[in-house]
Amino acid sequence: MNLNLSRRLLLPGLIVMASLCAGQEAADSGLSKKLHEHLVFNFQTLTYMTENGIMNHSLFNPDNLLAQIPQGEGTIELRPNLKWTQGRFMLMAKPRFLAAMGFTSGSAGKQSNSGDFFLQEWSVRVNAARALTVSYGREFLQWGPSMSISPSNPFFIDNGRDNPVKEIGGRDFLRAVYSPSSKYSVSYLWNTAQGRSQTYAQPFLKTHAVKFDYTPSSFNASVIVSKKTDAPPVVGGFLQATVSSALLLYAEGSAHRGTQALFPYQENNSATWQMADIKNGFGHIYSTAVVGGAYTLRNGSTLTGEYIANREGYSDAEAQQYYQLGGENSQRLTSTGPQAESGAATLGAALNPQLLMLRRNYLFFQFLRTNYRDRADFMVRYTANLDDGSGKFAAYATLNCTNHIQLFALGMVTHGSPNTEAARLVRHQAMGGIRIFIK
Amino acid sequence: MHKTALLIVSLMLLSGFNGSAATDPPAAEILKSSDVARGGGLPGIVWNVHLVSKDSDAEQVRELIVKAANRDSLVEFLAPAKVKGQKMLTVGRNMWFVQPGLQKPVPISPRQRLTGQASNGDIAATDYSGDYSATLIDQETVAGENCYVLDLHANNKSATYDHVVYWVSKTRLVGLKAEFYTVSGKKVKTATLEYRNRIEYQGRSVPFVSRMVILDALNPANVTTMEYSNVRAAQVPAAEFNINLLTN
Repeated sequence: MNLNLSRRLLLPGLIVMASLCAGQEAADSGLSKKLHEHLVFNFQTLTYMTENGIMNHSLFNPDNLLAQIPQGEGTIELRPNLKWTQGRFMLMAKPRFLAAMGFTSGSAGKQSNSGDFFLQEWSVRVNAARALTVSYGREFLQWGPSMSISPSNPFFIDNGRDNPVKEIGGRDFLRAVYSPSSKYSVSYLWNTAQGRSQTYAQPFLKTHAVKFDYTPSSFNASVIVSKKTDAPPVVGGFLQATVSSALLLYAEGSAHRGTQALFPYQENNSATWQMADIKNGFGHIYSTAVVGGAYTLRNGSTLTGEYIANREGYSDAEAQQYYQLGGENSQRLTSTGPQAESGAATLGAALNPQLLMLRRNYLFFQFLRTNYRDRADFMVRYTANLDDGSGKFAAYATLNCTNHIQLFALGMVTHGSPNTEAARLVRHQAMGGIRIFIK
Repeated sequence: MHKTALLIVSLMLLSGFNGSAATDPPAAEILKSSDVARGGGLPGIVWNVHLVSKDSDAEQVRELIVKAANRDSLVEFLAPAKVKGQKMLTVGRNMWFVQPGLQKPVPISPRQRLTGQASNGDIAATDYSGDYSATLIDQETVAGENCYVLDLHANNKSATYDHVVYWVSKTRLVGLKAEFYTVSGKKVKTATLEYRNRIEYQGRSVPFVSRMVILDALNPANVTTMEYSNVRAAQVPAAEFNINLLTN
């Protein structure tokens, strides 16, 4: 258990929660009245099991030596959310407790985590002027209409839609949002620290961004210009139109000169493949775009289709080199001595090459039905990699047994030969559990 | 027989052939006045809604708080616990749904229903005078009260329904009953309204909607009841309708 700043910050939150509970019994007390007036509080617990069907002959994780993904895992999470609003000020905190126990065959065996307290997100916000809001805190900022990936977002590669159970760590932002009307707004965002997000192989770089939003009657559009330290600016944006009462059409994308993504390459006179950002500072402009639409049926179900053009992704030749690199370093990893260490480092970089998607052309489909008979939600997603023929099928369902108890299940299956994107780590995944809405 | 025909012709001339008496206010003015009692034309309004939706085999109950200004609204789900924290934001025709856990705001179409028979347009402030062209077609009695009968046709895409027939009390100038139709002329639902709330508007106390009951025209067993309470006429800052500032 970590005795860190997050844990110390958690304590005031727990005190507030305890006060709230006490306040229920003394509804006429001044403190209780104040809590009910200013505090919004909800609290969920999640208990779930995960089973991972690990690829036995993965080129990038041979015999699960590198990623050491547990074959099975049991997890308990406590998720209280607190929001205090008083006058111009708003304080939001999402303290968390997470304990997990994983089971892996082989040398790793059973791994357990006795439990971690941490702050998933927090924010202090002040309405500095009538149309100006300033905030600082750790947030998971998301925008854009596309369901598969969010290329216009320079801060988060993962939009959290693939696995609705897992929470994604926020980053630390200073934000100023100027909203003179509901039609126009301008936001300045300064990403000051990594927070709880993962940047994988590359070091964190501070990022400044400006976001312009325009929301007239039947469509909305945004332009986002961002710049990381010592990197060229990135221009992103999206456009979404409500074409009819049932049909939405949209496009989202980003473009930048050069790329920080990692590509396979061989140094002169070397037969060994490595991963490096060889196109960083390269003058070519790389773009990623999503074009899609969503149609809502009369029964409330929504069908979504998207085409993803990821010009930053690997070409056929680069993909061939990538899998060759995987094969070679996989052999080095399973050998002994210093070769194994360098093989692990190269495979680690290859598993996280800083790309939204590995290849260049994808199709994405989603079926979503929410609030079915006030009891259930269903979501089915399929992503097809048009370049290598692999694909990923995912499904998520919830069933509300009562107003306070929900069962949930998530399944994911990939298909594709060993030299494809979908076959790098996990062949399938299953998750099932119970969510209790305490308050 | 001749006298009867003369009387009918005289009445038609007096009513201008459209059912309205010469002293009746124009249909557009009647509609605009009736909007006030449902939040239309106000600089902003906040209210709580207790919603019960019943069909043949289930009952849904929701507690909501609604903030609205012009064509924008923010609906936040307060209870039951399984939906607490969900939000629906509408700016013009743009709509988003936010659910704790599903961290990205999901854009949704106007067809997405809030719950039961209630569409978002029924929950938020009503701006019929902005969304529909009105014609006074008749006068009838609803629940013992004399009413103007207005025929409303959508004049922009923001309107929730294509065609509405609306009964407005002659004395109180509030809408008492509405029938909602599709473009093809099919009746989809009927609503009745009560006005036991009051708000301060332009220095005077005016009636405000307190209850709305929606009946499904195809299946009368489907009934949605909304009770409005804690109504406050207040300016709502534009930041409330900014998707960037929507937090769980």
